[in-house]
Amino acid sequence: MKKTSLRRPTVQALLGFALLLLGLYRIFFSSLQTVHAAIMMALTLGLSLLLGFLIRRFAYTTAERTSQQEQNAIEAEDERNARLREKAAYATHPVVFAALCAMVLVVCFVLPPNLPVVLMALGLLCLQSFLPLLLAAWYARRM
Amino acid sequence: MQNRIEALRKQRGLKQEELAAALAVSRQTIGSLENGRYNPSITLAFKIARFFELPIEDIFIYQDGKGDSI
Repeated sequence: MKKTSLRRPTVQALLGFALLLLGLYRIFFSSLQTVHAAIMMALTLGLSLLLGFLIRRFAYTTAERTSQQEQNAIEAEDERNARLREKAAYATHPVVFAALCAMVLVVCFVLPPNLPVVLMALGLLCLQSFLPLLLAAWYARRM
Repeated sequence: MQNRIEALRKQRGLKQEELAAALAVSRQTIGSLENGRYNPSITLAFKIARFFELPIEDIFIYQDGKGDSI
């Protein structure tokens, strides 16, 4: 089995942690508005992920990258993994559907009237309801 | 469904990783197959049979009423 180097993940973790600290500092010890601070926090987290990804990508040698890419392709196309993803998506659907229904009820009857938000919520609910049916019909024709 | 993958693999002195690489599946898939937690698709069953150069029914033993656990 391929030996894993600890250098890359360590650098990644340190960079991410430093950026996280910077984001927290900006939130709690600066005079920024809360919204601006939240945006900065999100950007900081996004940036740390991006940096981690870039470091990981360029830290590989060509041979390592090819081997890793082959392994990733196998993992992605592995039939058990595919079945696990299908099962997870199938189990997630009713949960998300119930959550969306609850959200629509709250948006319609609890929060102050806001037509664009209600329409967006209803649109999402319709999408969640009909997309599986449409996709099932499409796959049924192909299978 | 029961199978003899583990016995056949060990008979040939292979590691799970090596068998996985030969069949282009993940090592976890081989582990699940050997433990009987996962039943392969017909395509994978054929690949396994061809790899071991045996008929499918010599590797997989079908039992009525016992379905897939995954």
